[in-house]
Amino acid sequence: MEYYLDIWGEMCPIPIIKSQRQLKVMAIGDILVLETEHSCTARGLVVWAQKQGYPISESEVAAGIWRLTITKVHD
Amino acid sequence: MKENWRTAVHGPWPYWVGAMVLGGLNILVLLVRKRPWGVTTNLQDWSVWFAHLLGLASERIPVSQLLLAEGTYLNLGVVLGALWAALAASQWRFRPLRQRKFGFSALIGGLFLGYGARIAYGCNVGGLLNGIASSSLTGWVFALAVFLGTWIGAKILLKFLV
Repeated sequence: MEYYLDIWGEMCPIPIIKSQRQLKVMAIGDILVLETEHSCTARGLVVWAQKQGYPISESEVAAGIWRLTITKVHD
Repeated sequence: MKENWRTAVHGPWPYWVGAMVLGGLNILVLLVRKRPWGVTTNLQDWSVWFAHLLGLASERIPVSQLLLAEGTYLNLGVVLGALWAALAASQWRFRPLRQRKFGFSALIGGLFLGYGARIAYGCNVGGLLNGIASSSLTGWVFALAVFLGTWIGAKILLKFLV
């Protein structure tokens, strides 16, 4: 399953807390897609996911807009 | 080499690189200005000027004095530097407000920040960073208060903004 979380206009730590809550209700193997227009939010999420051991890919889909894909590999 | 150049312009810089650049520039400001870097004293002077213009303050600071103040150019430099960095990385874009509650929180937060910085005679740059850097007890007291304030702020954030 793929889930999408709208975090536009939100600053850390709000997107991280939202992602934590979303990941909790997802099954292992599910994918969480996030989109943000804030460079620090994208950065913070990447650092956080790596620390948690979740694979994350980051791509700048337009000038100043980032799309993040997190895979839930463990609980 | 090309990859390094791209990271330098486009970011993200590692935290330690940013910290070292900021630290180095802070020393430079102290050497040139003979006073530590601060932000809000100058903002306060501009506010006094504006309040006088509106007839809200009897104290008067002439524009000529403000235009000659180093603080004015330090603050302008911060804003223009950030603009330049965003433009160079082609990350500049108009970001409209998505939710009304963030507008309110920004307004209330700004008011508290400004008021707090002025009754404490400094913000986290002049009061905390350079307070500690110049071995002033004020800086350490400020740090303690920052931790306390952040803790309360985090509670408020979890309750109303998430």
